Amino acid sequence: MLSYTVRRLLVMIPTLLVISFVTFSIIKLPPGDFLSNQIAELQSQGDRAAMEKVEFLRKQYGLDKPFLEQYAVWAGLWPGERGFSGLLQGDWGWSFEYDLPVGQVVGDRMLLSLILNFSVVLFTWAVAFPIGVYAATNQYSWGDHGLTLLGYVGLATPNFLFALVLMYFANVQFGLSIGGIMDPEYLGQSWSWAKFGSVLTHLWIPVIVIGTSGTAAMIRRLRANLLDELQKQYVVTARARGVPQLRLLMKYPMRMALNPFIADIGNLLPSVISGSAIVAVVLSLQTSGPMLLEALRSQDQYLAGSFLMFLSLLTVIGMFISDLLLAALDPRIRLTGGAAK
Amino acid sequence: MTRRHRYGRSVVALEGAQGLAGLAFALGLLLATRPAGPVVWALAAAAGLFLVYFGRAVVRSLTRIELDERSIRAMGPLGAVIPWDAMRSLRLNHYSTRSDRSGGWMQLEVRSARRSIRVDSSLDDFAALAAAAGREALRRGVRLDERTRINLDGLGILRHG
Repeated sequence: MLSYTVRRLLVMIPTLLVISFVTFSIIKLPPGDFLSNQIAELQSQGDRAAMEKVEFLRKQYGLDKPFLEQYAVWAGLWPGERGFSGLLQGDWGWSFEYDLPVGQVVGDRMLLSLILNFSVVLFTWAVAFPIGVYAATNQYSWGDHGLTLLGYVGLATPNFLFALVLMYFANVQFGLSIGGIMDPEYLGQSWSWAKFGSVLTHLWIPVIVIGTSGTAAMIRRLRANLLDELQKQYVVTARARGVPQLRLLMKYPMRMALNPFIADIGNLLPSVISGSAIVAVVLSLQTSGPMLLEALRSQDQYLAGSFLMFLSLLTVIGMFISDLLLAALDPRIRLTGGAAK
Repeated sequence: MTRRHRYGRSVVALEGAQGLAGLAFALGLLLATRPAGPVVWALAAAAGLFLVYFGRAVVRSLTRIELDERSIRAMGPLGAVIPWDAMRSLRLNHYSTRSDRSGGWMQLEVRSARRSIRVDSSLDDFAALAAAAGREALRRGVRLDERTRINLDGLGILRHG
């Protein structure tokens, strides 16, 4: 396992370097930058003081330097005006749109996104697992058919549409406003138990809205994987030898059915931060998704770049974890027609 | 008859080079760019891991595994001898990193009350070594866990004795 871990780490290093370069290139691809637009606007207004600040920022963040140097300074691989001060050193840069350091702009949003999307993942797994196992072990029963129908409905309904419908009914029928992830008076305040409680009371709506389609998809996949496994020779043999049903299920078929979910951890981690951006816009959630969209739209390069780089880092770490878990999950040879692969 | 197995030179050389490259990169970033706290910890951990990996490659290059009717022996810097009569457990695991469980590598671990010898499938003629150790375990009635039995069966050892 050590060899594999080291090899995977060695692959991660160039991967992250390439990703950071591509991310920076994409952010810089459109002509001009946020400051160029600002300068044009300020020139038309003749605001000298603001223009001096813009020029100061342009120099400080090396926007007048060659592309490669800008990249190296941004990543923290090369010293800039303020020495080494880039991603590696924990400096995410300056958000030109908010006129604040990126770390300060992101603030609570990353944590709120983490809480929301982690809750969605827990909800999805907690609901999908028992239902998926039930549907597979009671194939073609009324329960299986009913849950399959629900699954298809869940899969076919876009999350943002579900959010809109839910908002409409909550407002019209119950006079409730279900937008936001906390009561407005807690926005921008430091964390307290009251604020945490407010987040918890608002959390269930987005969790259900975002989690429904994922739950439905997971039920379908788990059912299909488990059905495949339950029909294999070793399960039939174990059943014939009188192994109890639950033990038989948990011993190997369940582990094998989990393989695709473990392989998905690489996609799961970044979605914990950036997932559900459209739903967040619809439900006015103060999470990081809408901020990322806005940063990309307005060419706020450091804010967008830092977000994208962080998401890429999470993807690479997620893939690393999922590969290690896949290896450790079931250390058996896969037999195909009696021969070891 | 004594059987001797070694790790292939090219395998060990590649592992050593990988360890050194990783160590150089991690230490280089750590010393040259003065990264932030969490990055320092991550790079230091990676550097430690690469160092251990390089050390293991050196040990592997100096180690040979021998087995005969009486014992299995790891001859080298971290050597050990386990007489078959003292064998308490034998584990044969197969690790795969693909969701369809194809490919991957195997690891054999022989344990006595005090020592253990662990080898993986990059050892020359690993299947023959695993088969021989498996046969000794079966002959002596050593209790094997379920996945080891399945893996020995996969190598054709349980079926053909």
